[in-house]
Amino acid sequence: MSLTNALLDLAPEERLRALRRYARLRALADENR
Amino acid sequence: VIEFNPERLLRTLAEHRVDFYVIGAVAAWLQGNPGVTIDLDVMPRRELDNADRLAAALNALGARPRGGDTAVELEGADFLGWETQSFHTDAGPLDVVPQAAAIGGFEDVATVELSLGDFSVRSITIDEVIASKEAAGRPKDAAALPALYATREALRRRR
Repeated sequence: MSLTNALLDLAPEERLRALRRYARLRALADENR
Repeated sequence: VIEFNPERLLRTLAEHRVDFYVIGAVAAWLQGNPGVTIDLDVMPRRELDNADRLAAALNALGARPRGGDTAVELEGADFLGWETQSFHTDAGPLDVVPQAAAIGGFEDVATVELSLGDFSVRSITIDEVIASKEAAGRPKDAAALPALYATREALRRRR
């Protein structure tokens, strides 16, 4: 399943929370670089 | 670590009754596009009472202009121009974009309402995101287009 389809299966508020989690992971990865 | 809490940003704007649309990558993400950015772009209605509410919302979020560390007390008059303004806030980066290439401003764009649980926001449509990225012409905008086209197709197939 594509990421687009996975996102489309979520309600918009769940997409928003997923974005926050993604941002946190990316910030941590940037810090550890 | 820079916090990015788009839910808090949008909820604060909604609680302050700011008339605005979500634009840019978060607008596309909310409609299923996986290309992400860690900042929120909003297009406010350019009108004095709304500008006052926007300033109050940004003050509540501890907004400081990007590039400076100092929080400033914003007021409505700061949001009556057409230029994009970038802020850091306690809930992450936020850009105020009164107009965007190809799609125009608040009165011009096509939007869709998105329920976010106990509140809702309006976002520009995926077609408007695509039009603005096509017109902006920067390499990062061009790079975002294939995924946006795929998302538009996926949305059409589901409707």
